[in-house]
Amino acid sequence: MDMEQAKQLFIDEARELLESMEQCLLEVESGEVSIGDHIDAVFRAAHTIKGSAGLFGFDDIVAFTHNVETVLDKVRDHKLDLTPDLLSLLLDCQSHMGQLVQAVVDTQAEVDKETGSALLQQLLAFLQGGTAVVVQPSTEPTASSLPGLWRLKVNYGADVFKDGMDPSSQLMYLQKLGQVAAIQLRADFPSEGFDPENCYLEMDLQLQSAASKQELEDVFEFIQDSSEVVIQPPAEMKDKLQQLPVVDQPIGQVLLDAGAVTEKELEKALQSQTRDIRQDKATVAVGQMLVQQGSLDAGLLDAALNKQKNTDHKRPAELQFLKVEARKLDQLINLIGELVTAGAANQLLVQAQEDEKMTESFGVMTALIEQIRDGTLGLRMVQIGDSFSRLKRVVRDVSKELGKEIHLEIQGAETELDKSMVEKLSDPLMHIVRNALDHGIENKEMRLYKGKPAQGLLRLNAYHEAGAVVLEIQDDGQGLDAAKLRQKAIEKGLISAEQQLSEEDCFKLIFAAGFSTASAVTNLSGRGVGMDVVKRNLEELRGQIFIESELGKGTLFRIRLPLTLAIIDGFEVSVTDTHFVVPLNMVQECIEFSAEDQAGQAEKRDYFNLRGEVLPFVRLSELFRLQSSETALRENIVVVQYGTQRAGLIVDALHGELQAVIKPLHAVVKSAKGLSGSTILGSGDVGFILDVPQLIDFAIQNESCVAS
Amino acid sequence: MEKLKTGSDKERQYLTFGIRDEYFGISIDTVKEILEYSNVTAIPLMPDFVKGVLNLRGEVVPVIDLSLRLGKGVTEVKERTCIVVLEIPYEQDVVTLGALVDSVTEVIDIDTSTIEPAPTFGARIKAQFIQGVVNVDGQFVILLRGEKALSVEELASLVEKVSEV
Amino acid sequence: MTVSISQTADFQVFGFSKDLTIFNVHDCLEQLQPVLEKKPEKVLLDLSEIEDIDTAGLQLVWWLVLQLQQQGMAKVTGADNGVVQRLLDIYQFEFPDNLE
Repeated sequence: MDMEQAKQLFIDEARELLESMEQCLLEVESGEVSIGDHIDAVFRAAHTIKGSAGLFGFDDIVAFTHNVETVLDKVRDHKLDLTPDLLSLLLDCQSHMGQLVQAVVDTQAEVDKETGSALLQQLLAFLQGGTAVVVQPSTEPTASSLPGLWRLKVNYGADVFKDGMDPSSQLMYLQKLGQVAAIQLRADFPSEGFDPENCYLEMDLQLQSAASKQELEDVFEFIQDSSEVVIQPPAEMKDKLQQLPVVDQPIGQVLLDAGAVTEKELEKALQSQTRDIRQDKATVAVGQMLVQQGSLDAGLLDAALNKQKNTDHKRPAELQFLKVEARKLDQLINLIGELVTAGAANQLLVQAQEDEKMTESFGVMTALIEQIRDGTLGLRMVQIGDSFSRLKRVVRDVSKELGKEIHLEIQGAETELDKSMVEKLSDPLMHIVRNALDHGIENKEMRLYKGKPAQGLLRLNAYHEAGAVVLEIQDDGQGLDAAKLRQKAIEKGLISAEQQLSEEDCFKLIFAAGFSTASAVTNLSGRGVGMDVVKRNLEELRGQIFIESELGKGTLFRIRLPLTLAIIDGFEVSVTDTHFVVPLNMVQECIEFSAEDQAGQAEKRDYFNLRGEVLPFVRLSELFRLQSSETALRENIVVVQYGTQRAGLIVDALHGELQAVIKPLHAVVKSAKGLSGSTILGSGDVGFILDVPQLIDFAIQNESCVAS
Repeated sequence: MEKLKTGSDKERQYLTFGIRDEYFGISIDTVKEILEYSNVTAIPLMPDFVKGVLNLRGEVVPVIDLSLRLGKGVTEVKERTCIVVLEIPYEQDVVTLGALVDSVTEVIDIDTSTIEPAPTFGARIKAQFIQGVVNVDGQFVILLRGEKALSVEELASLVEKVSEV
Repeated sequence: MTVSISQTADFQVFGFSKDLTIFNVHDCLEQLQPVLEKKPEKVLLDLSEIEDIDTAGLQLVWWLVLQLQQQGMAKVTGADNGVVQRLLDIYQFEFPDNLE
């Protein structure tokens, strides 16, 4: 793995961790869960980011995150209360960390240094204010933990006296840490050659103390190299171990966190283990090694192992996910696309053979290809929940800034859609939500005056509907005023005064570039940019947006998106030699456009009588300036629907349904009108995917031209 | 300091092809492959210089009429008409484009020191498209800069202008 | 002299002077070595004069007692001297006594 890849991994990981940190903090802030449930996750996020950033030498991230971590550590140890102010500060810190991480990716990205140092100041204020009420972390036994009976065994090294150490002074110091319950001093004198300057002493000691193992170990720090010191934790440690949150960590870490072993002991055990491995000896588990060392008794190890078993039970859930490079997945999907295309080509050949057995066998394969296609596309499906969760933060920040109280309700977070779509959706969703918060939901006084609850409601919803994903953003605000919107659009010269617009079309004016409704320009929206981006992004995703609004009651934005961007079910038609594909979900019906119909159209009109309903249509041959062969006696109308609008497309021939692998239009021709992409047909020729909304617009414009 | 001479060891390979009665060359580095002209599907509402699109093993590649691009009129498709598939840098990537030519001649080694600067007049081709001119056995060959003559940005903006009308 | 050797009744008395620490344990033993080689049967180790004792000193006395008791009787006296007693308390230690 090269450095760039490693860096990318760090960035991905950091972003994920920051997201989870944000989620946890927001859930705590909303009162859904207590900080106790989330502090470990939040702390771990900060801790891991700091650690990984350190590996890469991203000093800015390390320096900043270190302080965040310190504060979190205090919160975790109940030494600092998580006040709403602190919570808010932590969220700001999380944002800043996001900026710092972003700066790694994009050297152009600006990191607001002033904000950073201001945040640091505030963090430090909490730290300093905090220590005043904190129990001094010192050799004094901490009041919270109960004293347990420690067993210490010291086998003094021969040179202890010569090194100027006196074991008695260590004992005196131990007495400060707790109550010495019993001491047994033993001597292992040699039968001959006693040297009074050598130390032959051994000591067993029982100590009633609430001190940590580390503190006890530190007492023997100076003799540790020459002597053997074994400290066995009290039985009470078992209880403490059981109270620890279940964490997915190696046994050594579990014991270390519990204070049952010290780092030195663990290191020693690991060293012995490594040595055994080097010498090809049967290796002993670290836990066992610690017991052999005497650092631990077997009972305690069992307790810790049980704890670990618990984590083992939890593990499978996390292992259900496999990180796969997005590129590999894209390659696979491309290949499936080729497979689908090749399948279609074969189908043509098989049909020509008219061999029943071959047709049957090919049918089985086609069904399998379809399953593979669906399965592969499914790999890219992710839950919309993450995108919604990101909006939580927006709602929180914006409502704070605007001083509005807003309740966010989320439904259908588990609804799945294509990952690449999720990414492109985040901007449009953000803009719609901001718009709803800013312009939709009234301020508290106005709401109370109108007899609405003071707290505004914003509802996000997602669900699947007939091969599409539907997202809804609904607010209970003031609603859109069609007449006002229309008036404003006329003032801005976006539409002419004569132009007739349906109510929904008036609503959709808010998506026009340079259109803004708020009279007061706020920090957030109202700058006239943004909402036009929504429409553009959604069009790129082949999505549709609908607006329902009732004045005074609220507005509902409904976005319909195709399930995937890679392959669609389509309906193939042709005009002269050019083949087109209409997305199947937009096709309503196909009708023969008979000679009589054409005859009935003595004067050239661009609408058609469909069972009493006036249906505008476009003749694709005219629109695309394709020379329709004079011999085509029969024409067909494909009735398409987009939103609430319908239109007919007149084509020469209908070729039936197909699976079309979408090939985006080449950079050179991407501005092609009326086409949203291309695809390769079973014959190997290129077909074009029709941009139905645009075609309907054509048809309707034609119709209104005729009408006026 | 001794001046570096563009010695004869500086040889480059060029693909030469004919458009009308003139010969052109393009660096072999940008050439992906050469195809016979077939199965080009016209895209509706495109300016003339976009001949259509081609299915290149699953990739949809636009084909540009190079003759029109060089101001020499529409290429008539004949037996020897070829598509030179080129890789042109675009943004951080390269894109594949097909260029329509009357005939492909050969691949030749050209000593870069023999390349003459483009004549400032007479060729009726935009000077920026031309890398230089070289004399091969008494025949002038105009060496093209692929990234300029088939600049994706420029082509795209031309297409956009046409489809706005 | 770090140790005074005297005779009281049938006991030989090893009287330790004010310091018994790592700095003089070696000298002490060297001085006592000729006496020990004679394998005295009754010895009293008098610590009452001690003003400074450390663990090395304690170890030496302990070793002497054990050595002497192998061939006869030995007893530590004067251990109630404050300095010695404090050290013994720390170790919750008593010198072995085979006199009774």
